Amino acid sequence: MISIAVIAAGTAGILFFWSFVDGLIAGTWDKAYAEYTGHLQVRAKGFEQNLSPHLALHEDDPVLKALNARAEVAHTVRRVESEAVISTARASQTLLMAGIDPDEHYHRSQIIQKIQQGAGLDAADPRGIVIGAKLAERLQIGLGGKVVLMAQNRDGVLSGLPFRVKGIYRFKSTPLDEGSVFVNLSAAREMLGFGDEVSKVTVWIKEPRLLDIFAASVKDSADAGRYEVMTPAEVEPDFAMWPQWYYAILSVIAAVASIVIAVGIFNTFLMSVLERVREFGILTALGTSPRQIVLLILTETWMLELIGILLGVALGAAAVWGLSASGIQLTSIGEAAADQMVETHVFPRLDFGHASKSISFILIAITVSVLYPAFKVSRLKPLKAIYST
Amino acid sequence: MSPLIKMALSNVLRAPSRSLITVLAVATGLSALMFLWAFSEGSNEDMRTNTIELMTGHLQIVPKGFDDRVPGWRTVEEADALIQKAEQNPAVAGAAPRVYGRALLSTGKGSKGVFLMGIDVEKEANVTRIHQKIVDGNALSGERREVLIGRHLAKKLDAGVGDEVVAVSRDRYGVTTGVSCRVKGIFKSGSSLIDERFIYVPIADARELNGFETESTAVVLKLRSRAELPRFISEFAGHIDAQSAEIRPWFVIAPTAEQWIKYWDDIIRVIMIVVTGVVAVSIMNTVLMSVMERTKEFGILIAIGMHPAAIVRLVLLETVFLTAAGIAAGLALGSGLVAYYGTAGVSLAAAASALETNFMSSVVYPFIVPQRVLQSVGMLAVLTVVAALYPAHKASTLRPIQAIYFS
Repeated sequence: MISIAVIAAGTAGILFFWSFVDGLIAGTWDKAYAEYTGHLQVRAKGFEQNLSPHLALHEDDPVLKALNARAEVAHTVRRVESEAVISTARASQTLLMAGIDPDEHYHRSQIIQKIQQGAGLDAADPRGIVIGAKLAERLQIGLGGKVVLMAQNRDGVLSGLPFRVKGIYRFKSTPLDEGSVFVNLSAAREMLGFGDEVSKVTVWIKEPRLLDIFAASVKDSADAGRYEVMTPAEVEPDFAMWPQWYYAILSVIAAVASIVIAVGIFNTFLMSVLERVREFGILTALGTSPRQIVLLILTETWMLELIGILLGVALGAAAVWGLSASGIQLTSIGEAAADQMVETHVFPRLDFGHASKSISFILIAITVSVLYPAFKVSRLKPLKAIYST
Repeated sequence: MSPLIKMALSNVLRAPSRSLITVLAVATGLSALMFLWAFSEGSNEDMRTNTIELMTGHLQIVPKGFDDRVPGWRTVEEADALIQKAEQNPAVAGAAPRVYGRALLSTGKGSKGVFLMGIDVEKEANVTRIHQKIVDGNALSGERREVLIGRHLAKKLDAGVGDEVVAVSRDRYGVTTGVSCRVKGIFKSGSSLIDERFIYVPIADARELNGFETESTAVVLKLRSRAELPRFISEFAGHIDAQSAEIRPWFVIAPTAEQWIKYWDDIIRVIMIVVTGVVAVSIMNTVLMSVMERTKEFGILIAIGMHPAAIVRLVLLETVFLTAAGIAAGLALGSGLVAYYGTAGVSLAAAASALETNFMSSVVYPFIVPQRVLQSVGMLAVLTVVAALYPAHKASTLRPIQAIYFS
């Protein structure tokens, strides 16, 4: 019973630990995919270095067309991006202007959700603009307020258009809430002197787990001299480092916790074998060979192990499952750290790789812990063993 | 010594391997908890120290209501006198003037808006350590027309050591100003923001860009110890004209560090609950087992006339001895581990590049927080006693015959 409890607690503990960590990291990525980067971005070569209006792709570009036709793709979003200056009567600021189609995925799934005042963009209202709450505060402007956006167009001429604030959103992220605005695709094209060009196409795929394979195949098919195909880690290199950071610190913790579990298991099995010295002495006296005794102990252990691990997996999975619906709410992070793009609501999730590694660790720990006392007991002289207690 | 205590002691010593196992379980559990808390605190402390030593100093005296994202051209009055006064204060390790500004930095290849940090090279070295973070070239020498740029900025602008760059700004009178500087060194500060958006120039050049004569935007102070911060602020406030200037401690200037630490503490707390649970189960099991296997012994004791309550007391005493030994061993082991790693550091080399973008070092130096140790010790002590009480109570209520033939 007790051996089973120790195995079960150890297994459940490790499973939950990794589920929490994996949930934390996956949640952070999911947030990034959804709000910032998508799963893959395709743009004209050089756009990363320089958001030049000359670097654009035609909508019917063969690479984009091929991308849209791929079965793995859930949806694609077209964007026109440029650095721009926003001005009100009171103030002005440089920021990133993003022209999007309000009927496409990003607007429907993200921006609309984050609108706090007013409404989202509307294709029928080409002079509408949605801005972040922090920017609104800085420019001292509210719904219906007039702003002018200015950007350099294709011919190198500064062109400006007036807009009216339709909605104010809050992503809780400084780059979006303060450093970006969204306008209609058509308005952005008009400002930059574009026909049907887009600055980039962002792709969301159906199976994010297969991103690496998908990204590699898209990269292979697009001419690297003309296109840049960027994964989220390449779009936001700083951000891509968070998982590494989590893993670095957490693996130290995992190592220490594993030692504790191993010692706990070792203790329990050492004791459960030692308290039966007398019984093994009798067995030896009856002619059981030391080898058979070791085998007997190992078989018993494996049976206990099996039950313990099953129980532990059930327990750990139940804890994960129970918390995966509601998640674990961490202290909401302050405004100043909001641009770090972290997730404060963690939904634990089981990762098969970590689960199987944890279970093998426990199996090995148990077998090793039981081998030493089993070996020792099997070598005892029967008389000594029987009178040992 | 009461006979019960004697008996408990001799019981503990009679079965050394059993006692050792319990002591070992408590000791490993306690030292593991101690080490983990110390490790987590060490990584937090590291972030605080780096923020202070690389960017903010312990505190700054800035114009009242100053917004460092919109530096403007406001200045602190009589900065030099403040610095002199600060330097005379025994709590102060260093004081330096700074001029903040914004500029457009251009090379032949491109241009980028940057935050300008005008520093007094000699005095700044007493306050922050940017001069130790140069990865290519040298630190500012004190000559004019030199600039330090971050590695990310260097890459974006394709600028190397010795290259000429031009910083263009607008001074306080609205006149466009510009200085041409030679890149003296490229730094890697430990923060990707600073590496991409900050440049360091001699304070005289920053003053020229801002249209200042001898004014400074802020005075940065480093104290001998962070613990003196609250006392120093209240003491030094008398030297400052509250109408025009204010004192800001480092955590107000850079709130991100503390917020980040708070967030990280939440993550650690969830994880520590799990770890503590596992530690608790493993210790409870060991104690439970070591008492249960002695059911027969207790049956004999009752048969020869020992009172059941005395048995519970006996087990309790034994457990207290074992736990005390375990806690002592755990404290020794835990302190040893923390002391060793506190000097040697725990290397997180695998994530070095990730850590260095956020004021974290890739080596963490754990250190002990007494409160956490007390919590862990208290929890383990209660747990072991509870774990021992249950089987002891059960054994004491058994009929002797039953207990003796129980196993």
